[in-house]
Amino acid sequence: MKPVFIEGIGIIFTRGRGLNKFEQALKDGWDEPTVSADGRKAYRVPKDALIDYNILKKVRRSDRFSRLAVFAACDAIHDSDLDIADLDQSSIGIIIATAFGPHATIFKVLDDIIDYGEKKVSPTTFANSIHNAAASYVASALGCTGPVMTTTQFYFSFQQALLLASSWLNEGRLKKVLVGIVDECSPAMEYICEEKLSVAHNGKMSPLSCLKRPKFVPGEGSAFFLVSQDSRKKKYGAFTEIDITGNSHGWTDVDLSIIGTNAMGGSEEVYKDILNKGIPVAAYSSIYGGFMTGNAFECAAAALMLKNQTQYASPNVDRTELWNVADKSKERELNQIQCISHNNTQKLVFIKMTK
Amino acid sequence: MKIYVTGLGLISAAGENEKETLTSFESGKRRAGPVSLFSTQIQSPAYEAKGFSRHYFPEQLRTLNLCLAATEDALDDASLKEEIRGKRIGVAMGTTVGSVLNDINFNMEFRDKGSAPMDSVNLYLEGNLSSGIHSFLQTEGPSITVVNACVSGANAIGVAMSWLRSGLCDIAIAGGADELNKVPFCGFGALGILSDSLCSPFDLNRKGLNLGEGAGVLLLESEQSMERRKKKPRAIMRGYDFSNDAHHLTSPDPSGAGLERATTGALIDARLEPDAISFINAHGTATIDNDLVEARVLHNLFGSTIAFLSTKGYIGHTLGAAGALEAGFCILALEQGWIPGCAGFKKLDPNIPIAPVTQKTQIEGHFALSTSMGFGGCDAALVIEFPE
Amino acid sequence: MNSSHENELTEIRQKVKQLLVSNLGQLEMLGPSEIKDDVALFGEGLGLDSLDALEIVVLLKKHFKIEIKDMNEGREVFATVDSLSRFIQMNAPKDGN
Repeated sequence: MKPVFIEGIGIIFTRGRGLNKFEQALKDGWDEPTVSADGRKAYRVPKDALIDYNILKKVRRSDRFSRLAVFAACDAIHDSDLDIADLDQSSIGIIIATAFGPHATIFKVLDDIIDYGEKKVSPTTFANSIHNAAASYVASALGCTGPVMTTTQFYFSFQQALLLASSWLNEGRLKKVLVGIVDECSPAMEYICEEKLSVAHNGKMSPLSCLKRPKFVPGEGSAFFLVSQDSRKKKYGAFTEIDITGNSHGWTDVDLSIIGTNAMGGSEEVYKDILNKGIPVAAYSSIYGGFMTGNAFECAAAALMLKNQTQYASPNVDRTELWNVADKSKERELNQIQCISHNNTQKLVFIKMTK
Repeated sequence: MKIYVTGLGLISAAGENEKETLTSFESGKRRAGPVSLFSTQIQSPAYEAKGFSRHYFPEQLRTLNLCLAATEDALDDASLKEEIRGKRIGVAMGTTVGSVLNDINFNMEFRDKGSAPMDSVNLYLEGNLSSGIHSFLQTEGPSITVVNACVSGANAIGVAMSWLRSGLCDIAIAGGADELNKVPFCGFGALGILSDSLCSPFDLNRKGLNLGEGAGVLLLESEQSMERRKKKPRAIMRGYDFSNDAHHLTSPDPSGAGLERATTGALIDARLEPDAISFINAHGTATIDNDLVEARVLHNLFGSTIAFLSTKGYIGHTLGAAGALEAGFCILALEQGWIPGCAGFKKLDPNIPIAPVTQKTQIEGHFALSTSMGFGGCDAALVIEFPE
Repeated sequence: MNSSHENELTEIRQKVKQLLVSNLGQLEMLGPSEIKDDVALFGEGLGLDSLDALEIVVLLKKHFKIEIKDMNEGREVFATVDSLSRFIQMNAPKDGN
């Protein structure tokens, strides 16, 4: 594929809003998750990170899910130094991938039906419960009149969205694409995770454990990348390959492999055969929590490492005998990194990123 | 690069196959009635796919079942039944209901007791359209579920076109599906856009939309793949574009700039002038705002004599399926040489500059346009060619 | 006009403001005391739009058991907090909350 250069990144996660907070988190390593009212542990985005009147006044009706996306998307544009006003606003496209969509708001619609009856549903709540409401708010906040699309899948949502962004750029349909993910962890989602997965009650997600049911702490957040095929605008390296075939063993010419461990795909055993022992392995989801679109966070981590030429230590890996773990933070020559993720049928999907 | 349509699968209230659909169109029959799929206090006729009973997945996954049934029909039509496992085939499907965990009982139990059975969650996790079809058919290739509200079906076809043009796959299964479901039924009611009588697109007395359900699936193929299989095309996907109003969450931009951009973009993509278009299958939901904005844009771009209609009077608003079903109807019309009358339209709104066709109308020429508009300010347009 | 009538109206105004603030977005940052009784809710003023009007219709149903059948009637009623509150006082069923 033609390289897709990263011009800007925006991110919001449990330690707040902004790429510098994410960079600091990668340096600092693991921290305690948040604890909800009913005692469940999760990496939730703090309330104060979701207040910014300058942005919110453009999207006053937005729900929490949409706000996560709007802030990360606006920050990606801001990070790129692109002035949207200078640009033909229809030459920039937006793709937002999500696994569970605005499910907390959907539950509010159901609450209305249960509590007040079918004819007393809040129209605003219903409008916010539609999957593409967040994208609509992002388009409004940025004034983007180009193609705006929301996609949803449980596995590999971000990878498929990135592949589509690359297709749009290849076709010459657009000059730039803002591609990202958003997912929210509501009380219902925390409960579902607890029922279906093995939540780490000590709050310590330990990736690469190869347990059948990996210990897991749910997370949430949003991350966006402003990408183009214009190498001059490159700020963080590029996405150079995306392999979604499921038959691939990845690449051997990379300097680091980042594994997306979200527990929903089950054991990481599947990586043991394909990972070259010479190439260090890292997993960072114990920092921001596990969620199905979290692969975008791994790519953000890779982009930062390629830019800073610094490897950040992979936190909380207990079974160091199984892997060549990137267990120390250090300056290092990093030319290429692959981000790998797996699903519940042990299918692997790869993204290669280059300096 | 030309992208060919070699198979079609169409399921809606108008019919479970092409023949039934054409019969409904020809006779002007409107198969709407009171909702039978769930109990409701809201009075609004619905276009249900009555009699649909093809269950590949649990019955509760009605959207996925509709989608897979239409997919199987499209594969049959394209003579692609047996040879697809492991092939580089993309799957792009649009939906709204198929993407949400909206089980009322789950929600009620969870909030009352703090716990609830996982059955509906498990079903939901199984019900993603593209993933479900991808794994059922065991195809390899890109896969995306588009959730762009009422434009999803058209967008999914557009995604497949992008993949084929970029060489990511040789064949793509693209379309959309939605079931009639209580939650959007209540939601559209809350937005004040459900009509309590049969919908009347572009009519002076239009009162809103009727919801429908169904699935439309197109089998898209590269020239190389089609020639290798010695298959004749039914149509060519000639152009596509889409845009966003960046105006309002639920209302269309009154200027219609977004739809105009998408339509002009699709014509440029198709390398055609507006006068090449024989007819338009408009979005025409029969809401006050949609029809007003849409008709004005069509008038601006195509003049006052363009033949157009909305097929929503036959199938209702099928949400995520609409754009794909309507693209399929364009192909039927190009093949048959006629479009049906715009069911429900009687009297022109003086604010609307052009009138849709009121009866079965012969068409000449090779090119059709299908427009879609939707929630969140989405607009999309597809240009479809009938091959010589 | 007796004082209990006036007290009731003051209470309704307060409740209306609270409902608007917590259901129409952005206004949540203003706080109920910031909305003046006579400021225009739509257009210039608070800048509410058609979706907010629909929301107010539902709020009236939910919290005051009042049905607005005709949105043209709504237009005058929804002009300000004061007009809306007076309408509620006139039309809410006596056993309503």
